[in-house]
Amino acid sequence: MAAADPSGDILDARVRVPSHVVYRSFEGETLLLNLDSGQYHGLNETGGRMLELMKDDDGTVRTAIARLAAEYEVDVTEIEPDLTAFCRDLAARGLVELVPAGGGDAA
Amino acid sequence: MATLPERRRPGLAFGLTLDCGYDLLGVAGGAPTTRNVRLDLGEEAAPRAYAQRLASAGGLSADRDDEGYVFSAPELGVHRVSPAGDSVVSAPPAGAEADRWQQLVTGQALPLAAVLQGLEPIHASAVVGDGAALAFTAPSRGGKSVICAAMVGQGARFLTDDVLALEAHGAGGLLAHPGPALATLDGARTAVQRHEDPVPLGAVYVLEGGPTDTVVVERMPRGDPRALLGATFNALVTDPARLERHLEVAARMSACPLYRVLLPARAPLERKTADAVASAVMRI
Repeated sequence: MAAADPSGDILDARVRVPSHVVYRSFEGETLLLNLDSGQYHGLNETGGRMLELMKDDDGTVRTAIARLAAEYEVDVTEIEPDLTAFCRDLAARGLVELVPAGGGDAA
Repeated sequence: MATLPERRRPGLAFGLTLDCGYDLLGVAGGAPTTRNVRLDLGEEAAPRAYAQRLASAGGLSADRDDEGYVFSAPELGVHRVSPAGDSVVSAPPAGAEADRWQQLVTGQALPLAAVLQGLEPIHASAVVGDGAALAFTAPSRGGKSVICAAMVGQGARFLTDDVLALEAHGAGGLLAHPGPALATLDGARTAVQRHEDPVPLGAVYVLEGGPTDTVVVERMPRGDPRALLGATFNALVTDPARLERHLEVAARMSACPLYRVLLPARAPLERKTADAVASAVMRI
């Protein structure tokens, strides 16, 4: 079996914010709070908007990136690498769960 | 011989309806709320461990044990807050003046009780103008009290000194609750007339000493979330529900009109400077 392309896995994943994470928008910044650890994490405007699109769209990371690219009037290829890494970072910090395409356990 | 019924004194502070077994200064009046706190005197507030610590402690101590939270300080006694924030039992030092030892009750124990009952106290003084609370934040001795006194002198109504209890209200607003009718002016606690009802939070003024000879009041484009979170008056309670509420209140504060007030960096704040701030704020 060929090794899965990590980027492809993330792009086709859906994002779920776990119940132990809450976030609020401030002007120019979004603060996430991990209720389990008591740690706060800050996202800039782009990161906060990306989180909203992923959470509300009920689509994939790929569709959220496409929508953000349209909002910023840039090509998807310009922002996809950074935003893919952003999603991977959020997941690594336990702030989001990446649900693979087709459902099942979070990535 | 029959025992006389205990005389209870009703009061109000920080959004809490108080049922006091002694005369607690500055809290009489106000309409009842849904949050109740019973205040009593009792030696059970001061177990031997705390009493011994008082003998060697140099300042205010705040502790958590199985029976709640304990504030203690030399000459101010020991004050225990129940885990639910519905009871405060105080053991003041023998012979201590009420306006001395009660500072720990109104300055620490009741704000903690407010947190435990779902409110969010911040380190601010406030007045009421045009039906809304105008909050002034600054570190201790930063000029909050004298500026609020100047605001009252120019027609505003006193709401609270040093601790402002906030509550999320409606879709995105905040309700500001009156504190005790006491203000620290010229180093002395002074009885004042307060606005008795909660009001919406209208604006927040952040006081800063700066390289200026005159008062400057400027609108801030955005509030620093960390500064707003750091304005909390209480860091003892860290359960998830409280942390989330704290974040919500900070987010709502950031949506309020925020102003930076640059003050000539002279301590203590001169009355004429406070009057200049009050005049500038009243013009906004």
